[in-house]
Amino acid sequence: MGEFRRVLANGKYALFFALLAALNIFVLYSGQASKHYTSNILSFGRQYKKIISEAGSGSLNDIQKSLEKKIQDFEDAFLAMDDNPEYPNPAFQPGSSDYELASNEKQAASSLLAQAQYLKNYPEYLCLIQERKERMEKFSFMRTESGFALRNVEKTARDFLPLLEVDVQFGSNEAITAFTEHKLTDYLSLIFLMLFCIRFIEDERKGLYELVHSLPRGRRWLLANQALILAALSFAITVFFYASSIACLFMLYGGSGDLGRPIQSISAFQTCTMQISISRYLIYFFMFRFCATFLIALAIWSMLGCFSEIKSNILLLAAVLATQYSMYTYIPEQSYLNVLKYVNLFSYIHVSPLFASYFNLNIFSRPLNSRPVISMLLLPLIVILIKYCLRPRYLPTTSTATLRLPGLTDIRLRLAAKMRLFGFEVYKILVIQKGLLVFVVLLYATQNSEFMPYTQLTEVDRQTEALLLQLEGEISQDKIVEIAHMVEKSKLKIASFEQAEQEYKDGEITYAEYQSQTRGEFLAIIRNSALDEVQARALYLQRTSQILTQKPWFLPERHFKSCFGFIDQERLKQNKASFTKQHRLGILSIMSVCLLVAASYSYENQSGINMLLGTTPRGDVQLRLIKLAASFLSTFMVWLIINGFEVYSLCQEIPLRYLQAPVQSLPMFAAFPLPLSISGFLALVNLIRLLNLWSVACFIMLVSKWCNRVAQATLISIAVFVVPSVMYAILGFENFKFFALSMPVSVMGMLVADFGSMRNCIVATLVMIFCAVAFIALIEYQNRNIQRL
Amino acid sequence: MRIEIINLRKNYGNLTALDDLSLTLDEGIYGILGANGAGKSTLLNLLTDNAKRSSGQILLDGEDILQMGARYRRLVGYMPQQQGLYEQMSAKAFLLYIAELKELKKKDAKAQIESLLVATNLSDVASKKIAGFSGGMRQRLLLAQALLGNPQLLYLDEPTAGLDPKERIRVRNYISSISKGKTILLATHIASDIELIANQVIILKRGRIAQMGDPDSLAARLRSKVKEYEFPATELDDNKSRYSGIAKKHKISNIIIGNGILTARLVGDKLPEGGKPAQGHITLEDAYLYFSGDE
Repeated sequence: MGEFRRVLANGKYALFFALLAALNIFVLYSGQASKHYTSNILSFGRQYKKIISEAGSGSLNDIQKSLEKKIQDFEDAFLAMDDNPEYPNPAFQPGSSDYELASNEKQAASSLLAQAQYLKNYPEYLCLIQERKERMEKFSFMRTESGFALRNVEKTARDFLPLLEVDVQFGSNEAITAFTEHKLTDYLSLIFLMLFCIRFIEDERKGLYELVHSLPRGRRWLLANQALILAALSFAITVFFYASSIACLFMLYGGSGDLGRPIQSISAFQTCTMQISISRYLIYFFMFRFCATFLIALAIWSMLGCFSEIKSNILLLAAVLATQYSMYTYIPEQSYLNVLKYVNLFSYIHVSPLFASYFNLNIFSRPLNSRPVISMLLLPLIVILIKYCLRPRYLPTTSTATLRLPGLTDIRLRLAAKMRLFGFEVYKILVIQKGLLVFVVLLYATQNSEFMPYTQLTEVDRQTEALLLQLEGEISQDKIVEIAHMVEKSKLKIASFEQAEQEYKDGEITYAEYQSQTRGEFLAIIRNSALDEVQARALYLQRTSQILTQKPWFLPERHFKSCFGFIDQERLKQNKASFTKQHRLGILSIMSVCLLVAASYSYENQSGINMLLGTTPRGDVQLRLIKLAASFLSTFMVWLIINGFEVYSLCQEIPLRYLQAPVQSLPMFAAFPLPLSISGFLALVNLIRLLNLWSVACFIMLVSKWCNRVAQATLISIAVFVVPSVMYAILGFENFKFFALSMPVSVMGMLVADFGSMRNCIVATLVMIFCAVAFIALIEYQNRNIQRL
Repeated sequence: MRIEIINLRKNYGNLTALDDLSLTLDEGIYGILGANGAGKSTLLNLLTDNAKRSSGQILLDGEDILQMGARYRRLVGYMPQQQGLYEQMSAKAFLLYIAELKELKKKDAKAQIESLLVATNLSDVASKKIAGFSGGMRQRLLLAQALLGNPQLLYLDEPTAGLDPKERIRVRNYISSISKGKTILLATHIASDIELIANQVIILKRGRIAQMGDPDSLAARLRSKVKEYEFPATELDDNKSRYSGIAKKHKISNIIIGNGILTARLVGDKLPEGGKPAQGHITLEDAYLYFSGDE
């Protein structure tokens, strides 16, 4: 009880917990609003409930028809309103409340129509699974195949067969669907668990270990109590993060609806093979959620106790989570290593897919359903981890003694004897604060990063690339004439195909003649489209070239697109790797700077040596300036590694002469306002990146100044400067866009025409620099004016 | 070199840590004694400009130390009470770093570090990581860094805390041996350290100077105010005994029990009848107990 009181008495944790719970609900609601294209999600919820109650318990066909009619009526009404500003009902105008109501009702009807269509097609979907099995068995090579593929198909068919008897029903599904799709709760719980477990370890390291360990209840009893606290915390997370989410969603969508319907009635659970009702699913989910949260908490706690230094423990935890996440995300479902994908910490972090999706593990070519395996492993894993966490522990050993290699000791001392103050600060970052390790990991991560991610090209893109390569060089009048000739020729060719088609239809030529005359029609059409694009580009570039000092070029742009992450919105999904690449590198930069700079002041605050340093002649302004310079140097190194690799990767893919072309030659920068070559543009972008990264370093220094512990400074820096970027760029939560520092640090994302412009980029950079200077001034002000005791 | 502290005041919210303190420090060793919270560390923090004063002045040869800035800090050596150090640095590297902060030339720094390592008996562990140092070793390292650059003003906060008797004597003697031409301010709880080496003793009480003088003159003032009383040892456990009555009313500086006799040494103005003049000399602890009043 005493331990409960001690740990839970910290008001900061309770406040943080409440803030996370509130953030979770806020993002959940705003996510629902953007999903249903409405600014008033509560109104949408009311309309949703109204339509469901109107639909009643009619047949699916009737429901579908009535919904289709409703949507059609709305569309007609909207159309009539567009055509006639004096629409008979003046209240039904954009911006009015009636308009919003109607718009929400239409959206709700569309959502329910999609559900009705899904329910209607569900039996067909089940039949298709059975048919696929039969079809595959007919192939002789599959029959003789003793591998995973056929067995997987057979097992899938076997598992789905009982579902043919399930009677899926229409009803209120939106709440459960939103709950299942909302992943933020999982990440917020993970963040809170990590912070909470670090508190346990911090207490141990505060010098209380010896005292507590010598008390009668200071060992296993205390650890058991701490495990119980984690269990209580897991319960609190399940209630306040998850149960509150579903309760809010039920409130939003007008109640829980009929929870006795089979779970397959919800399209998100189309591949769920459990024959259970929605209510039963919720019970299973919450039970599993509680146990899984407890398991994660125990796993974090055990990892944080491995080393004596908190920083090393946090690095270990980060490495394990990163590895697990990579496996969870990147191993393909059909891979023979898919056990690593599913029997993974993230399967316990994201619990919903376990129920909603159907996956088979590949165990020595035998398919094994992942859900029972993962569920059955849960309790044994908890027992093992509890056993591990409650093991007898001894005083954490600190690496002391003589530096082991005598030669190394000598070198270090000789180095120290030659170092000036700046050298010492760099030494502190690299050696004392383990910055060298950060650089080694950064080099490894950068080297393994995909700087030129694959971009999916259509046939037209490929043809356009080929033409641009053929026409490569300055856009001259001759080239424009040449393109015009090519376009003319291509159009004639297409016209001849059309003529042949007409003649065939009129019976003037035989099918064989038609076939021979229209051979290559598809390619010709593609080439024609590509030529149109090239011609349009040439004319556009010629028009906009007046601000340039030299003529624009024809350049194949695939590699630039891939490197800069500029992808058309329509192809965003296929080429997400390229789109997020800039952000990933930005996040990597910020993360590295956090690890390198977070200790700049907090290390001295932690050890209490700042009082001593302040009494030396150089320990005042000069030392702070040198600290700033050392932080800037390490930030510069991070920038150099990441951006150096990027430029190098690009130069490997393109002929270097392309770098002399005006940047406006690339269509995505056609409107770029400065007359720069591509190399000049790259220099400018990288300079802005450096300035922004330096600004981030200043932000981190302020956090470091305010924190009394290195771990605290590191965690707060990561939470404030890295997590929003991860939420936005990697996990896709749009709400975090304006807090994502990866945007200004990677720069490119701010230059995309859809999101920003050069002006936006400059404004953002100036704001960053202004904040950085203000923060440094604040540090100086505090040193001069605030009582240091 | 003269330090003048004029009407120095330091408030922490409603709490007054130093209350209009005025003091002049010339060459020599000054020992500061006081209870916890009497203002010893606050005084050192104000002298080192680690804390912002609420009012008053600290002048060095007539110039305010805040105006002097780095010029003042060039003259200061400070040994803080807190043993915060760079754990992953070796002792020698740490001293080299401090030497750099103190603007010492590399050559001078190396020579001084070698001699200070010998003086503080740390030569053997010079290349070891500080993380493995005991409390006493850290204390000696902190002293060594304070002495780097041969500062003329030396502020030492609890310099002998945590040292074994041999090291305490060694450090005490070393401080005494380098005191010529320096102003050394030594704050401690261990009265015997001050008693043996301080030229002047300052007893602080609730942020004010309760008494100041050289150890001998302080002791002389107490000559008739320290007496020893003998009781049967059994009286120690009896709440109604004569000893218990005396213990409640008077300050006891020492108790010795031997051969069934309890000998109590009492300090005060109105001591009970029947006591014998104190055996041996009057100690600074007696003086501290007397002058610190009810604290």
